[in-house]
Amino acid sequence: MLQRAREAYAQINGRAAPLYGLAASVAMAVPLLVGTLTGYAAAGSTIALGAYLVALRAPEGPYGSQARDLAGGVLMVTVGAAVGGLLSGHTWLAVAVVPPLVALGTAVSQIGSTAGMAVLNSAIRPPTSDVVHSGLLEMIGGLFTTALLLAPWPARRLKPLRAALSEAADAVAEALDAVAQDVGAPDGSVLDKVELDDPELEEVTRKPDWEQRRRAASEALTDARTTYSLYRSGRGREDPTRPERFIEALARIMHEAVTLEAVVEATRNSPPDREWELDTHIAISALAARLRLLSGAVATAGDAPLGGEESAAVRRVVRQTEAIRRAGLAGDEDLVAVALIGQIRRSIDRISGEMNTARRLVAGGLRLKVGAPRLPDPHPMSASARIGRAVRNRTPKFRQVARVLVTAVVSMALAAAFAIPHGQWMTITAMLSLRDTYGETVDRLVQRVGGTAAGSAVAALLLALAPGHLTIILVIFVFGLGAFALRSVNFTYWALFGSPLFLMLLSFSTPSGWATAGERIGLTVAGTVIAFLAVRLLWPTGHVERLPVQLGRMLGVHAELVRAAAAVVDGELPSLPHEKVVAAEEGALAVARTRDRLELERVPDTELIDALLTAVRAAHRVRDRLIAVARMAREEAVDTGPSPRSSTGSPTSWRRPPKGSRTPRRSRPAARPPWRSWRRSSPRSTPT
Amino acid sequence: MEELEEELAALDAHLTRLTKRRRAEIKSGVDREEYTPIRRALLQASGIRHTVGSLRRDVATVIGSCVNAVAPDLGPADGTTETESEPDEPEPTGITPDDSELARDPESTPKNNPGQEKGPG
Repeated sequence: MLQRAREAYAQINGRAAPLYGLAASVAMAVPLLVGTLTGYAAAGSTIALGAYLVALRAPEGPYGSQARDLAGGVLMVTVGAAVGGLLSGHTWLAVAVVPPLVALGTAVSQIGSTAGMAVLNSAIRPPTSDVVHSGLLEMIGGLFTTALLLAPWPARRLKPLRAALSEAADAVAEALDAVAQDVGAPDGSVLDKVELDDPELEEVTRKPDWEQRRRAASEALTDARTTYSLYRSGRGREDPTRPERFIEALARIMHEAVTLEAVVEATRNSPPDREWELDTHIAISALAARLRLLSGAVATAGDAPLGGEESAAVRRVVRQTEAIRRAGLAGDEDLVAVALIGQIRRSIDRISGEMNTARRLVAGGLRLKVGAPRLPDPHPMSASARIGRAVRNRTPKFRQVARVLVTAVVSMALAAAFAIPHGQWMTITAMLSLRDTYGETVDRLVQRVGGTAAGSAVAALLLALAPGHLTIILVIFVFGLGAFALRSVNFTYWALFGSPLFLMLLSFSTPSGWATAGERIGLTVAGTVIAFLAVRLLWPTGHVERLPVQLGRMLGVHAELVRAAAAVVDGELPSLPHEKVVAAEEGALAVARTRDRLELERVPDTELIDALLTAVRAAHRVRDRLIAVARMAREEAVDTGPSPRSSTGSPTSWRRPPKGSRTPRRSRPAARPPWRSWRRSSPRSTPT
Repeated sequence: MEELEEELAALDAHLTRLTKRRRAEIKSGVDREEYTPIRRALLQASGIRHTVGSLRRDVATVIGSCVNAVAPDLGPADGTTETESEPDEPEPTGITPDDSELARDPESTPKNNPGQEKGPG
């Protein structure tokens, strides 16, 4: 348990967000300061609470998307505060209203914990006759936070998009590096078995894992597409915008890298006699370096150098492959090896060409005009249909929502039945600590208990040393900065700084001290016990039960992709449909996510987890190989025509030519693949 | 699976013939710089052959692992072994000893011609 706690406290989940922390703490401290100085401390406290609740949403992505999220947050806080005010003094009514709201927040990510927290925090305040006034005050706080968080919008509108595009370009460059390392690389398994004391050495001593980097690049491209799609001004246009064309150029480079990796792997079995590896390695590395330059130029909006269009390394590999080809023509090289080297050269050429396209796009500026806001696209299924499906299938999400609902009802009912003062601490800990898996919940509880205990003690000590409103405001500012800036790094920081912060915000008008801090710690522990019992005693998460469906879907979408690849080879399709490639990737990722969750169960089924890991890895390889086959098959698609010395028709085309040049295969369903029919009908005829 | 084996063997044989025809084409005096249909086809088939072989193994692994995950009692299904951990065996190029005389320099060592070592695919 001690080891688990140490690991939970040492987790680093992301980067700090100092500007976000500063905006949130200013949004809370200013109303408190103004209220204290003007004699309206209670009103200032309510405004600060509204600011806190809206800042909790931590919106990400483009500013337009953040604005929509924050606007929703302000609305929920305003209405929630008014509804909570009506519930004030009616404890059991609050027990009936708050838990369903919290459960709804678990089910709908756009709602989150904001609605439940807004109602709960208002419901515990002393009854007031003017609930609308409270709602309006909290709305002012929420709007203040929104204004501060969105202040950089005009100046940094495209920064999130540039960051996403730059990260995608970097990830594709990393994948190219992995291909370069695979060229003529010795077996890395020997080195992999060596245990390194310093994990940082791993990057320089181990060969980069192609599959891992390919997945990372794929995810980065998906993120870039998602970020772009959040800029609603770019939607609905017929002609693709420059950022869109840049993303597609990166995707084509990535697909070509997949093909290149497949050919490099094939060449390992049929290498030419002549040296080819060093030049190829350097050329691919040079292409990766050029892509990194483009990434830098995108990130800095053109301030960084773009690099040249020509590459000496690529020219050199062209000369080398030409020499190998000539040797092949002279009979000095295996023709299969020569053909494979030719494929490598063509892939490098195409990547270089795509890179020049991307370079021209970056040089011209990745702009996106400001457009009128558009309504979000409706979900293909209605809300009632989705709820019905989740209930019928007992999905993991539905089970989680039900678990949160039961936990919230129990904790609030206990607090109400025993009239526990500050019982909301127990409820907040219990209902907000429940995660999707046992492991995540335990980690969250450990982080919350440890952080809350330490934070509450520190806050109480500070207030004991220097009591008074100005001290509290200063502590709120500093703790707010720490809590909101470091929340993305580790939840422990949130519990450490955020718990006393919330404590002081709620009881700003009434001084709190050691007793309140002690109560907070005790109730947090009680909430932890309730959450732990919920995760142990209530129904299972349902991830194992969903596996057959997910695996079936994964196999189905991959089968579709195989059929599409066959259609490309047959000339019925020009290329693999993007949506089928994405569907295959998402199918495999869904299984991978379930596998990750199963690892976090209390007693993980290691055999099942290993089988899923094997299936997911192989599925990723299947998709990559199909991409490679489709690209190689469509390359210079020609009908090779009759052989000069053969009487058996087409001698070389074992797949169908493009549409239009022949009758499509579907009109002749019984036809054999050309190499089979050719093999059976034609004797071994060597042209002489 | 048997049918697939036949198809892959046919593809190997096709590649063998392409190699021979390309060699014959060169001997018959076709311009070496000319991008002929046979040259193009050889370029395509050589890369695809290896990839399709790997694809077959990976598809078997996916299916086997999925079956293993949902019904471990059924025992290991075909292809359950994780092939990626095994060293890749060199695949036959489909070039027969006869072909190799055309395709290779007589002075070259056989180690660089797996097809010659393993015989016809």
